[in-house]
Amino acid sequence: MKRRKRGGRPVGRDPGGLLSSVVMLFFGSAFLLLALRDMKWEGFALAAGVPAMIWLGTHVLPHLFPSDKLLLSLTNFLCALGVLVLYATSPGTAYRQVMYYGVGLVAMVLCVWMVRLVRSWRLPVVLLMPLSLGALLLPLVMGRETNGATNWIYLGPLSVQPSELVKISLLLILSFYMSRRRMLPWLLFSVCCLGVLMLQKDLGTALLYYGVTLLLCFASTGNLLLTGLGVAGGVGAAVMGYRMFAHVKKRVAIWRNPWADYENSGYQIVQGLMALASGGLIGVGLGLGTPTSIPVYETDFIFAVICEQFGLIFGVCVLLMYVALIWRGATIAMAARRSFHGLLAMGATLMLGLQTFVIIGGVIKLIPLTGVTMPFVSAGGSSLLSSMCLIGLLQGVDSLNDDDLDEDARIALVSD
Amino acid sequence: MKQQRFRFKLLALFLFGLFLLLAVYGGYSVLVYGNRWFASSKNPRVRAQKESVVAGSVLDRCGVVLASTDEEGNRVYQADESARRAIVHLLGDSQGQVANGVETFQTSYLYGFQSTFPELVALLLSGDARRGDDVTLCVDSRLCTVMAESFDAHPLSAGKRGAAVVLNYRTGEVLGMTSLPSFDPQNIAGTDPTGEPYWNRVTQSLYPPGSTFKIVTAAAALENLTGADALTMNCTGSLSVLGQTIRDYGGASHGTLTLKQAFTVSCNNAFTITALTVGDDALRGKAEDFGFGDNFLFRDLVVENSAYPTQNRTAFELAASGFGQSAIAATPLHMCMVAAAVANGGVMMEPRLLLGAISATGRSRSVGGERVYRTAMQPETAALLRDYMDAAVNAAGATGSRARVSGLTVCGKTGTAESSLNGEAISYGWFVGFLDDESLPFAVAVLVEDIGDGVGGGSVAAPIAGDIFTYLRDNVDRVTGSVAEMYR
Amino acid sequence: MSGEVYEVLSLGMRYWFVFLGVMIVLRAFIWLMKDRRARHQRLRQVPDAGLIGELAVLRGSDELPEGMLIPMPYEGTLGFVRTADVVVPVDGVAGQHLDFSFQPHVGLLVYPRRRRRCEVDGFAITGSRSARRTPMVHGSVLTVGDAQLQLRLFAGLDTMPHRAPKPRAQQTLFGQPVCYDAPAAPEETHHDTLFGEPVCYEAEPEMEPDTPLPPPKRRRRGDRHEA
Repeated sequence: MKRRKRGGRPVGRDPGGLLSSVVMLFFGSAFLLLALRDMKWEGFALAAGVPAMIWLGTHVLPHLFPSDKLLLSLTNFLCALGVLVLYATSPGTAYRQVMYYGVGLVAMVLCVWMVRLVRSWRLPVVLLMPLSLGALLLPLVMGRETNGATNWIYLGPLSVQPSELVKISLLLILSFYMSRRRMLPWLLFSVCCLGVLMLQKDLGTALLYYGVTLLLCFASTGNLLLTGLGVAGGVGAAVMGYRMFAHVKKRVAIWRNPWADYENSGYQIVQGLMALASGGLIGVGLGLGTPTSIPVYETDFIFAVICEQFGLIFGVCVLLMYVALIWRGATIAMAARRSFHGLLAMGATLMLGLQTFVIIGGVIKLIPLTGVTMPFVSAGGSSLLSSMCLIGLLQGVDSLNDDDLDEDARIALVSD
Repeated sequence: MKQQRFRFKLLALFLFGLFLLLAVYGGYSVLVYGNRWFASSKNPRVRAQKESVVAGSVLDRCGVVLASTDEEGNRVYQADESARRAIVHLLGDSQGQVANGVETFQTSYLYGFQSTFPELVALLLSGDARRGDDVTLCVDSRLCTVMAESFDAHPLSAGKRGAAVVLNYRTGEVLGMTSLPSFDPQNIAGTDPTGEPYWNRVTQSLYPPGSTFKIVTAAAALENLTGADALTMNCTGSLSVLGQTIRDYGGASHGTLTLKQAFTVSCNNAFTITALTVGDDALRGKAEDFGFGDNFLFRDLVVENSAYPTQNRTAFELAASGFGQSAIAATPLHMCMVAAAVANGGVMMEPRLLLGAISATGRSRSVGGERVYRTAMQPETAALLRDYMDAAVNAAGATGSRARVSGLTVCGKTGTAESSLNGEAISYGWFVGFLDDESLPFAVAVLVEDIGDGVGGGSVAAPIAGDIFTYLRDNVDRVTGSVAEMYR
Repeated sequence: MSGEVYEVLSLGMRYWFVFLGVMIVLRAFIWLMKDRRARHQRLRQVPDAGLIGELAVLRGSDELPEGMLIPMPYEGTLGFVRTADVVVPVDGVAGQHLDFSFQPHVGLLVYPRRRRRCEVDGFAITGSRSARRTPMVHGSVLTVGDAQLQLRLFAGLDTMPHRAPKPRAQQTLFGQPVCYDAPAAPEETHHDTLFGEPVCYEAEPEMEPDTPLPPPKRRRRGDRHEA
């Protein structure tokens, strides 16, 4: 590829534009196909609107706030994929998802500014600790039990999952105290969080919190003994949980053989597996198949729906998009100047990566099913919001890295 | 900071490893288990497709239509009721009462899921109704009927439950499969539920193999003990191991025996000595070579896994394993594969059901070809065992003498297995064997449940095997040729 | 659109979607790689990015000769082990001896780990409070174990004014005159000016005359690559 020279610097084809054009093509054709199925004006609107939003998101949005274009593009792709699959199965949820995406964008920008503007984190962190614990406890007090876990609160028409939002404060608290090398506050906080989550029987989120805490502890201290103790503690808690709680036993039993109790507890996994198998390599076709036969297909099992409609190859492509996200997040974390920012960025990356692993692992029956959702793609306001906030944190750290680099370069150039 | 950066890189690599695990495991699962999950009767996609697609027909190797769809959309089976009942466990039924019969397991062919895109476009343009593929099986339906009739023809096995299966030991094709008690797929409502008629005893039921396991023990001895062929043992009629006594069938005492002689008369004491000499590790290793403990993932069949026990291996258990008791369990199909391995120079072929599939437009679809499942033993060992099994049917005093057929060399092994069901003792009669004839490369396994006291596999199961061999001898063209030639 | 036509259309579009999916992944990773290369190039242009200056070794050991200049990042650890950000292989220095962090407009703060000792300009650092009160600036000397290291910041970095070194006999400091332009410890300064220029003092030389403290350097500029 010949490089054009402009002002003495090499200019290749804009990689962001290249990616966004393919993404626009994909969503344009996909929504068009779906619109032809139903012949409803909303379908055609989405067929035009989503590619337009992708274009805006690639060329306009990054100039509105300090952002990382690649992360934005990846996020937009995944969110739009979620809207696509939801529109194919239940259009009402798709419209709601678009709305949540808008809110998520605002939250993301807020997080970016928060990371950039807050000078001293000591006060916010100290305040966040009791507030977060309180928020986590709220469902126990005023929530209702859904799907075996008490982790939702209902405020009028909205339902909020506080454990998703407390993820952000967990990251802030962990990064702050780990960068200061003070173990007690974050250890205490995370143990309390885990305790509350166990009480709520939200085992998936508990696993996530535990995983991120353990891995961040390893990253900041590098103390293998400590990490080993953490792992041993986790394994011990898991074994104890298995012995003590019936629902844990049930989860493990249907993980090993979901066909044994097909009618009740194994139904979800079996339907998911059948969807995966029906999809084969290239899928059954968009808008075909019976994805709605999988219970909770909108949130937890959305990956099974994607694999059914688009096939295993496409499913692996989606996995690779998450891998690209993690790669970028790790790069940002490694480029950070301050330990705090590095840990914050790595924590966000770990959170996203572990969450994706846990849910896809549950769907393909690699690990027992837990109640986490797939970041960006799953329907659900709290999930989308928290994932966008995590991306916002990453972008904030990235913008700080860029600023620092610019500052250093400026000083170097000033000599002339 | 430098160290922290380095650990970040490690964590990123860790996450990449997790994702790689996801991709590999997911790909592997779908590739290997995909058809089973898809073909499960609970799959709503299949139900949905059944509404719009006319199911293809199922034919046997001679072109006999086993199942087809009539104009009203009902599934029609063979006209003769006894033929229907004999083959129903292999074929399956339209309601899915039989688990993993061809009607359900081969849904992807029968209901047109294998149609390629150009075919669908052509169909759309022509406006014809969608039709699934016609599937040709390796089985001979007449053989299945003969097997079922043979059970009733002999007084000792009439009315008893059991299973019989015939395999082509060179290619792995299943020639016949029958399970009793059976039912009529054309009249499911009128089925007598006693004895679990929907259960395919050939592939789903596990039984203790009894003396037929001596094939495995002998193989273990021949491969692990030098000069085992010439070894002599002394049988005194009863042997005491860890305070428990092992007796021979009928209280016989055989005196000094070689391994071959012990095999011929099926001496338990001799094989106890053999098992104790070989040791549990070697015996288990040999059993695993034969496929015990393996997770059978055959492409065309779902077979229950056979077990060689791994816990509580006292000397007595080991001794009992030598003659197929202890907690060893196998399906009749697997024991047939064991005999087939002896016939095929130690190579076990994967059992197959599909010969070919042809679409409504006449295009031939690819189905899996023959495949080696495992190499169970050395060719020399197989040759020796072939001799043993030959003697076990044809020598003087052989237990399998009732399986002899004139004009053929029948090799085999009888077995009488003891077990307990609901607290009561129950005996199973076994015969596994094969024809040592290149033009009739078939292995057979027959099992009869609850044969009662005083009789053994040689009296109950061997005659049925004899009938099967006779049929094979008299129908060479039927069982070796096939209509499916035109599909290749 | 009728069901069958849609079905055929959708079945055909499967290939298209898989193809696009693979293209999207490829392009995303190409972008990732390009960004990486662009970043490396940027770093090559500013080789001193991420560094605040250097530590000049005033007294070291065999492995750490005098006069050696150690690059100094914004944040990190200092210690004996090779994995530390600033490696000081001198007696008396622990594996991970202290953490340091540069605060803009303040200076380089030094936090020794538990039970470790160090001194900045002669003042012992005992906890986070004393760390904040004695930031290191251009010319400050850090004493860890048997080593003495002088911080030389890059130009353009704002810090607090340099606090006077501890005026006791134990103080080990610069041997050449240093110019103060802010008040130092009361016993030793008078605010003399001569023609408006600050007056230079001579402090008690405790060591042999050393090389003079050079002014803050500028960060280097890498070659700009012309493609």
